[in-house]
Formats: sequence, C-alpha cells, structure tokens
Amino acid sequence: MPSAVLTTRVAAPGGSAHASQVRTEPLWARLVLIAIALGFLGLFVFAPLLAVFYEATKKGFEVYLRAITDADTRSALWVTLLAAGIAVPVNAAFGVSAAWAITKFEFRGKQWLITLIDLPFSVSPVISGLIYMLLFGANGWFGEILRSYGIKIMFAPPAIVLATMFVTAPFVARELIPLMQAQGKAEEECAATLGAGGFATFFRITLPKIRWGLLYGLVLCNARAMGEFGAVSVVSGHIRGATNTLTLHVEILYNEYQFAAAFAVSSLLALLALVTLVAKTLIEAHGFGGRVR
Amino acid sequence: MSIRVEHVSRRFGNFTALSDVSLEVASGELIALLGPSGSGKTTLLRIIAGLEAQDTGRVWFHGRDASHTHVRDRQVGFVFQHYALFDHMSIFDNVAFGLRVRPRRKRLPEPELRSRVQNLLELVQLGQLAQRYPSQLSGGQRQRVALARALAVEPQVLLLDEPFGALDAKVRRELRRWLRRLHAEVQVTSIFVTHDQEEALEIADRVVIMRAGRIEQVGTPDEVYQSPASSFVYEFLGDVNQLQADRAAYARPHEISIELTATSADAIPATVAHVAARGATVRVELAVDNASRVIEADVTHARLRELALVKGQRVFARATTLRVFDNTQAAE
Repeated sequence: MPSAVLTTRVAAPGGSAHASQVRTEPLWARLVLIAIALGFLGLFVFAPLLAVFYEATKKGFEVYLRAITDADTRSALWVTLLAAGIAVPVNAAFGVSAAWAITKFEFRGKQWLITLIDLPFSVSPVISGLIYMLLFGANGWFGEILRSYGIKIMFAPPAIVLATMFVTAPFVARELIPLMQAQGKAEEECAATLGAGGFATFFRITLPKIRWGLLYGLVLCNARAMGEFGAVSVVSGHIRGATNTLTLHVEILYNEYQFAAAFAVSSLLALLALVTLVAKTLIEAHGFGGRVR
Repeated sequence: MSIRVEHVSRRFGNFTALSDVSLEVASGELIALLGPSGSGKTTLLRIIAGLEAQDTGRVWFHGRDASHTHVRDRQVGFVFQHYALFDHMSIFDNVAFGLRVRPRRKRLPEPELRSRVQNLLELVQLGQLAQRYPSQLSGGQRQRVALARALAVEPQVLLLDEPFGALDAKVRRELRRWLRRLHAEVQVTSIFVTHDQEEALEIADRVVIMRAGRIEQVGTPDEVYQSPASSFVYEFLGDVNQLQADRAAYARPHEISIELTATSADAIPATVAHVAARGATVRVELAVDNASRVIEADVTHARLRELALVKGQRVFARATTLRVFDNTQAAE
C-alpha cells in the first residue's frame, strides 16, 4: 500500500558522538609520527647545517672572513650566480612553454616529449658533462668549427652555463605538467570566447593559476643550479679564479686540507639556499599583488 | 542573429561525434540541444562557438560564413558546464574581463565600464556580491556570474553547455524559469545543451533531439512530445511502456488504465507488483502474466482507492492511447 511505502524509513546511522575519535589516530601514533619527522630533520638537515657553520668559524671569524672574501672565492661565487642567473630564467621559459604545449595541444610525439623532458633526471650528471665534452670539446663534433671562429665553450663559463641548464631542465616543466593537466583548459577557452588574445590569456588567466607551482619549480631549479657538481666538474676544467663554481671551489679547498676555508665557502652556499627559501616564503606570504588563496 | 549549420561532421579518432548535421536557428530563438551523453550535442555547441573545428561543413552567422572565424572574433557568449570562473578574480573582475581585454581603441572608459558591469550584476541579482570571490558563492550564484560574464561583451549568440547540470533540483527549477525570463529580456539568440528532457521542454522555443551524432527531430516542445518522429524520441522524452513484445507499440504510464475486469480484447492480464506514491499520482508496477515485462501505470489517488489495489492482485492493463512506430529502432 502507498501508505506503507511512505512510512518506511531508513534508520539513521546511529552514534555520531565517537566519530572524531574514530577518524583520528591514537595519541601514541601521532607522537611517534611527529618524532620521526622531527628526528629525521634534526639528524639529517639541521645537524649538518650547524656543523658547516661551526667548522667554518672554528678558527676564528677573521679566518672565516678571509676565506669568503678571497679573490678565488669571489670568482667562484660569480660563476655560480652567473650559471643560476641564466639557467633559472631559461628554464622557466622552457618549462612553461613545454607544459603549455603538452597540456593544451594535441600533437604527435607528445609522449616522447614528456619522456625526453625527464632525460636529464635519469642520466647521471657526469655523463651529461661528458656529452657536452663530446660535442664542444677540442676533439668534439663542433670543436673544429668553434675554434675557427675563436669561440671557447669548454673549460669556460659557457660550458658551465650549458651543463647547468641541461641538468636543471626538467624542474619547472615537471612541476607544471600535472598541475596544468588537473586544471584543464576551460578557463582559457572561456577567455578566448570573451575576446582575449594569447598574451592576455596567459598573463591574466594561466599565470595566476600556476604561480605557486611555478614558484616551487623555480626554487627547486635554483637550488639544483647552485649546487650542481658532477656535470659542471667535467666541463669546467677547474681553473681557479675563472671557471670554478662554489661547489668545485669547496672540493678543491677540501682536497688541499684547508678545512676551515672549505666550510666557510660551504656556508656561503648554505646561505644562498636560505636566501632562496626566505624569498619563497616572503612571496607566498605577500602574494604577487593578487589575492593569496 | 540567425545561425545556420550546414552539413557539419566531426570525428575524434574512430568516434563519429557528428555526422552531416544541419540546423537553422532564427534570430532571438531559444533552442535546446537534447540527447543522451555521446550524442554529439556538446560537440555541435562547441563547433558553433568556434572552440572546436568541424571536419567538413559550414557554420553561418546571419548569412555570413563564420566557419573559419576564430572563437575570439565570433562574438559568442559561452557558459561552461562547470562555469570556468576565474578563481583569482573578484566577481566584478570576472564580469569585467571581456571588456578589459578589448583592444585599447575599443575599450570603454573606466566609469562606463564600471556601470555596465554593475548593471549586469543587478540583472543577475548579484549586485551586492561584486567584491566577493567565486569560491565564496553557491553553485547557483556562480552560474549567474558565468552568465553575466558572457553577456558583458554583448554577444550575438549565447551558448550554454549543460547550464544547470551541476545544481540541485530545486535551484535548477528556479534558474530555469529565470533563464526563460532573462532570455525574454535580452532577446539574444541562445542555444543550450541538456540531457534533461523536462528542462528542454519547459524553456526552449524549439527542441533539437540528437542521437549518435545525428539530429533525430527538431520541433516545438509540443510537436516533439505529441508527435515524436521515432521511438527513440518518444522514449527519450518520458517514461514509456512497450506493450507488445513483438511490435513497437508504446504508451506512457499516464496512458495506462488499470481495470479489474477485461473490458476489451487488447486488455493485458497482469499482477500488481509494487505500488508507490510519487506525489500527485501513484505509480503502479504491473507484472505481465507469462512474460518478463513490467508495465508502469500512473493513477490518481482517488482511482487507487476506488480499485483498492494491493500487491499480488490480479488486474488488467489497457492503453488509452497507443503509439506504433514502423521504424523499429531500439534505443541505445
């Protein structure tokens, strides 16, 4: 009968009072997890960082100051900043273009492009250095032509910049591709129906949508660009005061048993990393002038 | 502005989304593209907008061939299924976007722009929320922002992709009525996509019923409901009963009369399987004797009391109206 149908009611699931306890882990589990996270960070991140600054200043502040103002150190700092200063913007442009192409267009060989972007991650940095040697070295494929035009790439800053760019190529693209895939293209299509051109759509719609992913990619890219050792070591030639980066300089000092100086230069690298992180935090806190979500 | 779609086809790999579709829309009309998912209705809408390219065929806007006009220059307002609001912009900036990206010489002076946007926000009843952000609005409000944003650029054509798909039933009915009124007010040629036959029949001037990349029938809501061109259209527009296993003879649940004795030769003997009150009417499920078929009948509460139906009772079902199709096309 209809009345029977109407009066039939599904019993409400009983007892919601314990719901919060059901969903949260017990106290001991939370404590163990927090302890593991903090313990790991302390042991493997904070302790070495402290050790660097401790060792660097152990022989007095004067020694420290002399080590970081030394002409070779200043030159190494310059080469490192040059490499990062070129590699990071180039990488940003490449990463955004590649991610845009992969997520907004359909074309043949898309899967290949995605795989290719990952190549620098899967190849050992030393090998990527050797590839450049093979291409631009004195006996390399293009060595002859370059020499005839008087262009020097190997054992000179251009090689360091190239090697750094190669090694850091995937960072921004890898960060953006999944993000832009998840976001879809409806907003860009909508902007087009409203009459917006490519530039307006990119700067007003796409860029604000991907800014956090882009920022994170740039921070990672910058860290790697400044810290790269293997590839740069192969192509630099270790010429003091000319083609040494900070990482290479640290190695040389360490091998010469100048431990205090080695740690002092290391502390410079650590400081650069901290500056990057502080910059990221500040941008996140204050936004790009737009609304922070 | 009138729209003419001429022999448009579109394939995606092996899938034929549209095959040889032609359609005429008169200036100021409100048209519904109705069909199950995969019938090509959204593809057709996107081709009219210029968001998708047709493989063959042409699209005419007011007698002008727009087949290869870029979406930017087609002057269409497009309302996306999930609104596609710009989350990092306020409601005001969302609506103003289309006006602000115009080339400098065509751009409105700021005070004029502000008053235009404010007027549009009043039109969609969101005047108070101009400074809010999309994430702070309800689904129905977001939908209205999307509409105001599309209308801001004074489009020649308004295209809406499943405009009420993501809303709950009550809000949907309200917005439906509201869209009808809005259309009467702004008089812009509009096409909307839906899979909800009630929605299409309620607000459209004409309904285009699509199936597997083709147009099955075009007509006013009354025409398609009263004289469906095929069993597919008939089945898609409402609940149906197939009365005979071997013949495409159909009747809607409200066209079935339940009787206690056989009053005619075509009365079908059956057993009451289920009785459910569904509001104004009662839906009775009848299991046909010696067949696995079920006939659904809608009767009034008064009739139900009169018959005193109980589950398991033996009755006869008779169609008061019977519709027979020669083209026996089973619905997919």
